[in-house]
Amino acid sequence: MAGAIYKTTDAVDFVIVGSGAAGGVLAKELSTNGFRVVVLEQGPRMNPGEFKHDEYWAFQRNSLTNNWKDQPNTFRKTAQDKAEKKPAVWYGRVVGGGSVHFTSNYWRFHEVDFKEVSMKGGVPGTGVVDWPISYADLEPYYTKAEWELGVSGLAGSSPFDPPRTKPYPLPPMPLKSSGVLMERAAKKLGWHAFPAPLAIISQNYNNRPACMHCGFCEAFGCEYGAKSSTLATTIPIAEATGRCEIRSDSYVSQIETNAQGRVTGVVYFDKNKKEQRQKAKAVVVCANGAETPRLLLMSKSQKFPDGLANSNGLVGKYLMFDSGAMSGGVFEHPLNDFKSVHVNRVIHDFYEIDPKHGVYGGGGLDGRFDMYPVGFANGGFGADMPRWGSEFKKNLKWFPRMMYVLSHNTVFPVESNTISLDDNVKDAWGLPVIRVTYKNHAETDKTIAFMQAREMELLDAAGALQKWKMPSWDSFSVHLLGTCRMGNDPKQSVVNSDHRTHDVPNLFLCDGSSLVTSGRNQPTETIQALAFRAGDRITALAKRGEV
Amino acid sequence: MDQHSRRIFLSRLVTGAGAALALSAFPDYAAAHDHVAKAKNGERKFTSLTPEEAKELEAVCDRIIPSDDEGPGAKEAGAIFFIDYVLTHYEPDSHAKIRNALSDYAKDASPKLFSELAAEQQIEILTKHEKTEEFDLIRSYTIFGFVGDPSYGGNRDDMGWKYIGFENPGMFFPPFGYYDAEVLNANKKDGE
Repeated sequence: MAGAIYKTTDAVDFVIVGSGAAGGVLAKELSTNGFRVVVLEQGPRMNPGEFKHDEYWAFQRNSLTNNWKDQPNTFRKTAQDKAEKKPAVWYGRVVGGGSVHFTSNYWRFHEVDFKEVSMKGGVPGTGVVDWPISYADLEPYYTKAEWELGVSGLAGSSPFDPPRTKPYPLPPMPLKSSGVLMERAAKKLGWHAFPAPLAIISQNYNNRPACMHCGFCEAFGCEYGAKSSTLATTIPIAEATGRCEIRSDSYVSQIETNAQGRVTGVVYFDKNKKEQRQKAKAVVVCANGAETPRLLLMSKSQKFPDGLANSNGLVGKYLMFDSGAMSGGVFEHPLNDFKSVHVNRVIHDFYEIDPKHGVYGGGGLDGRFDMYPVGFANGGFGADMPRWGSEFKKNLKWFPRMMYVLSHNTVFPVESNTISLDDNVKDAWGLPVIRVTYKNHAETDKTIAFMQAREMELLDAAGALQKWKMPSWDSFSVHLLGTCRMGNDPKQSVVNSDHRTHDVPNLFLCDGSSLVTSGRNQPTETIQALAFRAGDRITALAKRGEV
Repeated sequence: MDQHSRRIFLSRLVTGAGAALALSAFPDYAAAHDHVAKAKNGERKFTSLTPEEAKELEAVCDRIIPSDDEGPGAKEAGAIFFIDYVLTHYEPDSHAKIRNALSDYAKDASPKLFSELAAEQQIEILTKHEKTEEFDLIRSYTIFGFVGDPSYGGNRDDMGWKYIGFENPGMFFPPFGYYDAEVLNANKKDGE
C-alpha cells in the first residue's frame, strides 16, 4: 500500500507514535481531515499472507509482539521489593499493533464505568474516580467504531446493554457448541447469554471477505483480513489519502521539546538501529499503556526533569492489569470449539454485582476455547492435575470436548501500581526497560473470586463432566490501562478530555493509558472510540490554530 | 489448504465485493499453508544434539507423552526433531539447560543410562525433578514436538493433532460441533 513519504526534516502536522488500536484510527482520522501525518511503529509491516497458524511462531518467536530477549521487563509486586527480570507486559508490535492479534471481543463500557464514584460511591484505598466524560459523550464514537471498522453482534440481545443509537453493522457470528452450552446453562440459572460482539466480520463488508472460521484469532493475525484490525481497516484508508506515511521498524526513544516547552519532533531508531529525528508540529502518542508512559519518562530534559507531561508525578501510575479468573470444563460430546471465533456467548448478569454480596465491582463471563493444541497441553489444566505421563496424555484427548469460562472484571486503579523505568536493565537499543510494579487491590481479588464461583456454577449447569479452576494472575498482562489517566484537574491527571497533556500544548496521548477505570476489562472498543473522538477534538483544535 | 477448501473459498469470494482485494492476498495465504506440507517430509538428522543426547532426551520425552494403548506418543511424532530444530535455529541457549537436566537424570540412573531403565524407574527419577525449570523446558518442548506446528520437524504427519482431535485446514463451516449441530438439526425439523 503506497502512502506518503516524508523527509525527517519536514515538520509534518502530526507524528503518531504507534499504529495499533488507537494509532491506526488516529492515522485515518487526521489524514482524512487534511493533515500530514507520519506514524512511527516499533514493529515490522507484515502482509496478511505472512500470518501463520503456528504457536511457536506466535508465542515463542513473538512474531507479532514484543520479545523479552530484546526488550526485557522487570517486575516487582511493591516498591519495597527488588524488581526481577521477568516477562510482565505483552503487546502487539507490528503495523496494526494489538488490534492485529486481539481476540476481537468488542464490548462497550456501560454508564457506570465512567461514573463509578458518583453512581457507586467508590472504594476507599483505591484511586477510582469519575471520568471527565460520560457514556453519552462517547456513544456516537462507539457507533462510529463499530460501523467504520466492522463489528458483528446483535443489538438488544443483552438486557444489561447501555443505550445505543444504531444496531451492529453485521449479524452475529454463527452459533457454536460453546454458545449452545452457555445458553442452556444461563437459562437454568436465570441468567442471560447473548451473542458475543466481535470485531470480526460475519459477512463481506467494506471490500473485505467474511470470516472463514479458521480458528486462529487470539494471538494470531487474520490472513483473510476478516478481523477488523487497523491494519485491515483504517490504515489502508489513511495511506490512500496520500498524506499519511506508516513508517515501520521505527522505535521512538525520545520526544524532543524546545525552550518554550513545546514538542518539536521525536528521536527514533530505524531498522538498522540508526538514530533518526522526525520533525513535527505536534505529537500524538498511542504506544499502549506501558510504552506511552515509558516514552514520556524517557523524554527528560532540563525543562522537564521528571519526564514529559509529568509535573504532577502521575505518569505511569494507576496501572490496571487484566486480572480475572478462568475455569475449564470437559463435556460429554465434542464441541470442536477450536473451530471459528473464540468467543460465542457472553453473560452480563454480574456486570454490576449486587452489593449484598459484599463485592463492589462487576464483570462479564464469556464461554470460550482460546487454547490451541500446545497452549491447551501446556496450561489448560488445573494446578492439581497431571502435567505429564500417561494420565496427562489421556486428558489431552479432551481437547475437542473443552469449554472455558473467563471473567472480565473490574480491576481497581491503585496509585502504587506503576510503569516506571528500570535504569539497571537496558534493552537491545540501550534504553532503560519497563519496570512493572503491580499487585491487585484486595477488592479486585474479591471480585475475581466472586466471578470464579459464577464460572464454576455455569460449567456445572452446562453439564460439565469434570471442571476445574485455573489459577488467577496479577503479574502478567496484555491489557495495559490507566497510566496517563484523563481528567479535568491538572493535579490529578495527565491528559484532559481532548487527550491533550496538561503540561505540553502540542502533545497528545490516546490509548489504554488514557482510561480512568478498567471498565470490566474489555477495553479495545473504548480505546478505539476514544481515538475516533480524539480525532475530532484534535482536528477542531488544530483547525482553530490552537495546537 | 486442500483443493476442496480452496474451491469453496474462491466461490465464496466471487460473490463478494471484496473478491479482487482478497484474491490478491490469496497466493500468500496458500503459500503459508503449503509450506507446512513440504516441511513434513525430508531427511532426519540432528544438527545440535549429539546422538547420545538425543537418545537420552527422547527417553525423557517418551515418559512425558508416552507411546501407549491410547495412541502414538512424543517418540512416534518425532518430538526430538522439533527440539533439535529449535535448538539449532532459535534457542541455542537452551541446549546447556537440557544437558544439565540430562546429566542430573544420568546421575540418578547410574550405573545404567536413563534410557536403559524401566519406565517405573524413569518416572521415579523425573518425579524427583519435575519442579525444576529444566524439566519444565523439556516438558514444553515435548508438547511442542507432539502437537505444535509440523513445520519444525515434530508432530509428524499431524500425528499429535490427530490424537487430540485437532485439524488445521485454514477454514471450517458450521455446524462445528455436536451441540450446535443438535440445535441446527432441531431447527431444520421445526421448519419442515
